[in-house]
Amino acid sequence: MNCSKITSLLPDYNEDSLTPEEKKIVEEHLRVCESCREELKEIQSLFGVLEREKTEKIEDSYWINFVPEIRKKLTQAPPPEFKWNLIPQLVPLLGFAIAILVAGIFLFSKDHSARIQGVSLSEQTQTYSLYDFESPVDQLADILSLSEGTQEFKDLVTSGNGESIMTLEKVVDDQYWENVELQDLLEDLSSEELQLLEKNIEKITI
Amino acid sequence: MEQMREDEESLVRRFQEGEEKAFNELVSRYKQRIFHMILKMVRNKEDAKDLSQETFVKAYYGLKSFRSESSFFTWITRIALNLCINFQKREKFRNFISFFDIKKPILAENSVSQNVAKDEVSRAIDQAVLSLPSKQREVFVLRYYQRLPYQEIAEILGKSQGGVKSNYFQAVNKLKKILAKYRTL
Repeated sequence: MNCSKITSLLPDYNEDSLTPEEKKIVEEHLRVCESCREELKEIQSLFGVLEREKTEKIEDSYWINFVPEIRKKLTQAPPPEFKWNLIPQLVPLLGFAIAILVAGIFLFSKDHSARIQGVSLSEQTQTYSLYDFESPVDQLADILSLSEGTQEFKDLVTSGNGESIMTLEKVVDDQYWENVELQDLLEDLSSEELQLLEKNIEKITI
Repeated sequence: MEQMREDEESLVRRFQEGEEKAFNELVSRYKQRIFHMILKMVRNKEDAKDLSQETFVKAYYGLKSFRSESSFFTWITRIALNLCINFQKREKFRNFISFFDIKKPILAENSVSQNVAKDEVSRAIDQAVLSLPSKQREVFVLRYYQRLPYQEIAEILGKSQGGVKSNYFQAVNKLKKILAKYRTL
């Protein structure tokens, strides 16, 4: 296992939440890799800082009154129903909201059109739009700098004996999951798109 | 755990059948946990108090149509996190922060006097966690402070476990850099 994968496991190693197999792999690697040992020290040091955080005390009266306060709020403010007869009064407010929206679209338009082309004005890496690719699998392959047809991509998404058993999770877990572009993709996809990506990966055959 | 889930489902069912006390029981069970999670998200005690109550008020109205496809805790955690994110977006707008200045950590205005009582490290941690992108912050809070397994976090957030692990690793990396000054090793 390479250093990038090991370092990604170090936070969980520090919290002793790895599986026994993973823990063994990490410890074997740490024995021979000074860079990863340094990385572990930094993570341990970070968690040491976090442990120094002081917890604010909450007065007992807050907890005692919690349920009564909820009940009071429920009686005071039932769920709002839309009042159609307020529309005339809302027109100036709507006009203001539309003006803000138009200004926001104008301000964001450069970023938005750039994003459609697959480039973001974000100060960090490029973000990818699904619209540039034929499929999420196509996009994943692009982010991994692999072509769908290459042996390396096939190896990534199939098991050792050639069966196509890969899931998105395994792809993410095994390699590249500290890849910021991959992370961006995962963050940008909706639940439905993630499910579609998982299904498509499972369908990949040699 | 199974027993708890059954009790929870029973309370939800009883509430849906009209027993108001069942809702009170659900609130009592989860109020502290939800509050502490919100506190770690928004980093302001008074805001956390309000948002906690708002969470349960929202839950009350939504619970009537809750279908138990997830656990009650998963569901209400999602409500709480959405409220936190929306609250902080509103705070950002109120403070007239530039649209492009999205990485700057925002503390609510009335947090300053409260933070005077905190020590420097706690304030630094507040700032550091608030500076995380919202998705990383959610995962970090659920993993580090709430000690939830990745599978449960993935279910709460509607993400893959791999994506959640990636978010957590990125969050830890960022915090490591931001809080470098306070590290002693």
